[in-house]
Amino acid sequence: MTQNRKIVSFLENSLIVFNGLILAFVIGKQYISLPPFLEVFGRMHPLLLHFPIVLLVLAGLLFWFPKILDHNSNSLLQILLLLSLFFTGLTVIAGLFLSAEEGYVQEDLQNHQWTGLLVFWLGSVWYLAWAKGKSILAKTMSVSVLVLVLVTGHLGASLTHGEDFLLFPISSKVSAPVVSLEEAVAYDHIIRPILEQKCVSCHKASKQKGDLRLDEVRFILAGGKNGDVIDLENPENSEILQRISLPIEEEEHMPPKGKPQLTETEIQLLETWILENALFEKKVVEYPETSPFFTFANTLFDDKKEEVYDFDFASKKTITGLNHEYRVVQALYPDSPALRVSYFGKAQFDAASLDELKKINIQLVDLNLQNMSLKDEDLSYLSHFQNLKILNLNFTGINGSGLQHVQDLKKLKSLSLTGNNLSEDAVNYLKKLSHLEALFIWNTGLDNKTIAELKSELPKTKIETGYSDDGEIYQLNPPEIKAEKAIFTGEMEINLKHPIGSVSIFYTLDNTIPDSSNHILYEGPFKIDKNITLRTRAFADGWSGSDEKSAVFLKSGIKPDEVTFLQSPDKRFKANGTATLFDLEKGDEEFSSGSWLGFRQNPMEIKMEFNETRTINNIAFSLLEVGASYIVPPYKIEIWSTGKDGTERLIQTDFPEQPEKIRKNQVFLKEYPIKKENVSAIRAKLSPVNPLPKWHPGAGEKGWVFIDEILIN
Amino acid sequence: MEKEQLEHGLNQNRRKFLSKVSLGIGSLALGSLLIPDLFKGKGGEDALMAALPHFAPKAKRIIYLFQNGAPSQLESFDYKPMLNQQMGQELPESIRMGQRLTGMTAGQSSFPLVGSYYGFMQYGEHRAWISDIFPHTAKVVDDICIIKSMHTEAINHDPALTFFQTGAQVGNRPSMGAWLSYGLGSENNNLPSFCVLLSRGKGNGQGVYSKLWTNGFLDSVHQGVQFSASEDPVLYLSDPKGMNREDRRRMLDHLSSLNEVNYQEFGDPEIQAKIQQYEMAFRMQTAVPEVTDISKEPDSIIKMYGPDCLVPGTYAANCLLARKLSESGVRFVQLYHQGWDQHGNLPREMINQANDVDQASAALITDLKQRGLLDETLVIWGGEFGRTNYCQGKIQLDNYGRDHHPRAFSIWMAGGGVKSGMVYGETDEFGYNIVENPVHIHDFQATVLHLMGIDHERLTFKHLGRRYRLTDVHGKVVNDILV
Repeated sequence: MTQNRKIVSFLENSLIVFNGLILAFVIGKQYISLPPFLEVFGRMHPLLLHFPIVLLVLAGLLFWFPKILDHNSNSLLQILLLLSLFFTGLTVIAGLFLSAEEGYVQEDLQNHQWTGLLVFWLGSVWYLAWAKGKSILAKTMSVSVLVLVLVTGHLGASLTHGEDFLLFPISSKVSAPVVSLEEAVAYDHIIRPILEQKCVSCHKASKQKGDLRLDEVRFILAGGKNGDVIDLENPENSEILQRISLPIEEEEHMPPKGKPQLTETEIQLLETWILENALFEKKVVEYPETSPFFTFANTLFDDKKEEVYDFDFASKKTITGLNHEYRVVQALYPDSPALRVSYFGKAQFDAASLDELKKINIQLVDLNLQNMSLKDEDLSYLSHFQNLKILNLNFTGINGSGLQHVQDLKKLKSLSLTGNNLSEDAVNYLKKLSHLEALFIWNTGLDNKTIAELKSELPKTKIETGYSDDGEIYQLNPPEIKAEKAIFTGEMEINLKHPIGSVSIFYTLDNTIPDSSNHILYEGPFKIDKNITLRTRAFADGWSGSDEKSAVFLKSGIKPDEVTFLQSPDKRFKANGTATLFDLEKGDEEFSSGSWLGFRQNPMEIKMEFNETRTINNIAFSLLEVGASYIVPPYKIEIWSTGKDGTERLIQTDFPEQPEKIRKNQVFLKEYPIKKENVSAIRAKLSPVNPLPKWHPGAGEKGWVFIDEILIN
Repeated sequence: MEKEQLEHGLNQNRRKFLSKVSLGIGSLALGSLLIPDLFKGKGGEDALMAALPHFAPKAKRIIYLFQNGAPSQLESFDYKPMLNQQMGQELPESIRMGQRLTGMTAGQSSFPLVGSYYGFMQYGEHRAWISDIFPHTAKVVDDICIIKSMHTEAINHDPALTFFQTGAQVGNRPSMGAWLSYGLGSENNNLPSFCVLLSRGKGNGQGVYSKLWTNGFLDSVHQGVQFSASEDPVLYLSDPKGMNREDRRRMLDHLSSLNEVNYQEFGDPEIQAKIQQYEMAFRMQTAVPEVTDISKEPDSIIKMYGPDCLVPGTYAANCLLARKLSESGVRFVQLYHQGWDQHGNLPREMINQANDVDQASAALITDLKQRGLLDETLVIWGGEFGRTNYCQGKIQLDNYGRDHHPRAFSIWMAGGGVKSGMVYGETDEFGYNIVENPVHIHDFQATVLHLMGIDHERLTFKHLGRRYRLTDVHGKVVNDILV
């Protein structure tokens, strides 16, 4: 019992002492200078304050509901009340010491201080009233004290954590600017909201920490007690930039530790805006697109660009049911109710299938019908799709008279009509589509005047007219020569082809270049029945004539019974020996392909014998020219024939025309009429050029002769 | 034998049972929470597909114009007048900083700086510098985003190409197109989702090989399908002579009923896959000729791409075909144009290479734009690394060469959510090191996936006990170039 008494009397005495001390501090605050150890005590305020809160609440509980405990609770209540007042006193004194330090906002601090003092004083009255049995006063005081504890606590929290700390999560968090990108002004819509959220609570009229206000442009420019916040001469030296980029542990760091911090984006925005000269009036879109500030600012508007679809999802079953190989129905992305439909496979397309899309008429926002065959009346199916945003009708064959059905699609933003020959009706319907953002009308047959009219009727629409032929003349590419084989028996059909339908194909069969004065116009496949060199070119209006394409066709003839080389071919290009020359296989332009015989050190000299004498009309050699590889026409071609009598006579000597530069690689034919009866053998000698002429890179060296076929008729 | 009969009767064997059970129980609890549809479909890959793309994509399709052999950035998009001023002077060590060189120039005793043989001019709203040998690209400069600060680790063609395409310098990882096919599937089920087109320039070339369009460890349906320049663009697709389409249909119907019987008996999902692949090939028989037929293209298209586009197998023809494939829903069209490896003779060779590709590349941009497709198609142009600012071999006023340079090179991108008319990144005045906004290969890959609506960290495939992704453990989306 005595122990209890001792504690009570100690606490009651403390109460009197604290009351006196506190009164003295409050009155004489500005005259007191604190020794450092008391500053330490002051800084214990945030620690101590938890005791009175808990104890006062407990005391209140026991005061109002004494029956919580089974037996008499009076002595416990007394101790509780005194203890809570003891800690309240300690907390208040610590708080008073702490408030003497700089750095707190006076207005908030005053409120917190006085409510705190009231808690202590009214608490003291509560104890006295209770002790003296004045129950009404005691009850009033108890309620007042408990309410005041709440208020004081909240004010204190605001003081350390910043205003609205408590309600911040539910109060509106406006981070995206409220205006569109086009209207946004750099300071008003981007920078000021950041300052307001993160800086102004301490730098405003009522609370000018560091003598700085950031709530209005003129105060920002005026700076604070440390001078300019933003240095317009050397933006990179601006104090605000240095402060916000310091590590958070640094005392100079802003916003101070414990206050809401700037996000990374906010720092980047502030930094780039200041580095780009802190232009208060400039609009965001007036910054160059490459400017970092623009880049960051632009991202704030991203959310606005992203369309939000709030309609219901189509059922999975419906979507699956509509999907097949030639029609793909899918969500724009997994969590989106919006659907995109694409048709593929022209041959399988049936316009009536558009009717099936009614099941998703709400969800359909993107419809791709390009290259499908449509009639204009088919466009009536589209009028159901009220949320359609993107419509692709490229190359569908419509003339646009059905575009009236598109008029009521108010959400439509992009319409592609390229490759359709649009009628006048179409243009009239298009003029009414003022809500369109983009219209694609390349290759629609509209003349410049109509397009200009459209553009003036639809000033907000981006009208893409695409490539227009600027009159530059291009060269056609050569026709293709199609024939079954290069060496034929009897006769053979030859086709000439060109991928552009409007060209005329000219050709010659006499080894001359086809030109305006000398040509045959190709009108269809033609037949050949003898050795020919076909040369062909393509011509068309608006193009320059093509290079030539040529081919050699050989009629197979008499095969000699015995063939012998009198001089052997180069060992690298032996092919199949003499058999190569009569295998009816033409070599291509690749000399190393193995179907060509090559001669350099020796001339190509060959003897062809017949078991029975023959009548020979002509003899032809299929040769190759690859100038860069020293393969050129032979210097000299000599032919001897042996008659029935066994004597050999020279019947032909020719010096083929030599090139004067490196020409295009070609396979060419050297053909000689002989017209001899009763021939039993023929000898031919093709001598390589030696030396190569001066213009040739290999001047002075020996040339090559390449041969792949000999044809005797 | 008894055991086999039992398994057969139960339509089950030990391996299948175990794999089903382990997969089933393990993923039951978690999987049903995370992926509500897990038990509605087949699970596994299907569930992954259902969750893709991860967010709204900017681009639906990609056309990648790969300039194989590494075109010189110093003669195309990275204008360095300083190199002309200091022509023939030694590359300062303070710039080179001991960087490794290829075996081709490591032995060189001197590294004389060499400036561009071709002139440069500024074009477009942002006054981007473009060399005189790319006049058509210059005309569309306001539609493209030039990145001058690409860098890679590889210094030789094969590893660099493989790195660009698969995210690793060695090994057999899936190519970017295969990853996208795996992640997003095909838009048009009648065509492959990943197509490859090859062309060859006149310049010094480097080979390309099917490793670059491999499916790696992914299912083989994701492999790139090479279209050839012949009359049969897709090999073995046409029916043999004398077989008509009805016969083929009947044959496939019978084959599939036989396969169905087999499936009922064994329950192997591979059988179903086979049936579907036959069906797809059958549909491709009509879809492919429809796409590859250029006879209905208007004359103005031919003039735009240049008459070469009518010659199958040229770069221009491939660009036109790429547009047609892409517009028909092919997810990823990969072109390779060979011949950009100018170790020597650069002034003569590079202009030919540029002539091959310039007009058609620009035409592709214009063509997509005029059809309203550029916004949803991402076009990429570039090689596997850059070329040195010093001369390889003997330096002459009108003839020089450049070696491989991985530290800085230029590419361009257009459409599909990329900012237009932008020049991004900067190199030092020697064109040797990047001084601003470097973009690593993995950053590039992450950005490409991002544009397609894919979080590059979440598109993974488990193989040999660990999850792989295109960007390995790297990659940061280059937000600055996104619209």
